Amino acid sequence: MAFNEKMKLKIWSPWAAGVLLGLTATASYVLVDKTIGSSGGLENIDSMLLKLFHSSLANSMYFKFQMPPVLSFQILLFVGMLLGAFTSSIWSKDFKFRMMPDQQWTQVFGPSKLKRWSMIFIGGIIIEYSAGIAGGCTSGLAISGTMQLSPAGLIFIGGLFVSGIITTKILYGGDY
Amino acid sequence: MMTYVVPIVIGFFFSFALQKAGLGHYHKIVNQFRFKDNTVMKFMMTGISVGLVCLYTLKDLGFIQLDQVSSTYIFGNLLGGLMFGVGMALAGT
Repeated sequence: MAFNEKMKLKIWSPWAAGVLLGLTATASYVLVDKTIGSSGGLENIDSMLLKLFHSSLANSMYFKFQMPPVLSFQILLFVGMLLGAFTSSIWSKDFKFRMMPDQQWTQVFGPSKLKRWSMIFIGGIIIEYSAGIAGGCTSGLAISGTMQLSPAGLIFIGGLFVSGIITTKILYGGDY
Repeated sequence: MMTYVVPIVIGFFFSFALQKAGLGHYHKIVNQFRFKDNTVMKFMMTGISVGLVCLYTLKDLGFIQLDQVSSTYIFGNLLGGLMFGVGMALAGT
């Protein structure tokens, strides 16, 4: 299949996309000696905001040395990530503004937008906070960490799946 | 160039892979936890395997040093992982 037709596919085989991910992570290690991650960048932005509003938290050890208020590698990664996902979805005509996720959500939880938005907000807070505790998120710790055979990544994946399965089971109840 | 352009290019291909695997969708993430759709697992494991082979080959050939290894502190990683799963199942991201 020609290159353009491949790019127009909405979904690739997960194996193919995974190979691209592995090569990207290696490239990042070789070229800039950093690992791919996404939660750290948000904490750098937090740190900048705290400094901007002269919060006393900005002087804490964590926001001063662990996540300093600088334009870090991961913030630049965000810029690229927005461009990448945008290009990919435009190219395959998959791009659209969604207020609600497709099908499955409405079947299980009903059409309430408030419910969806409050759940994604609370979920987002939990995700970012626990990424701070663990030292990385799915990409920063689970993928990049395990890639270097660090036990941290494997422990994280284990914990993630245990509680994820339990939470989904509770949320879906009989439909699980 | 190395500090500003390279991270943007890397981010571009990273999210390109994520989008093409369909991981921008709520149902892909949640159905992994229900074991109805194993895309997340296939994607993550392929990524990890390819990266692992490439990284350790380059390390053994002496091109890079593995000096960015994530630090392990069992309690923190486990607690973070357990909380992360709750958030991921709620938000589906």
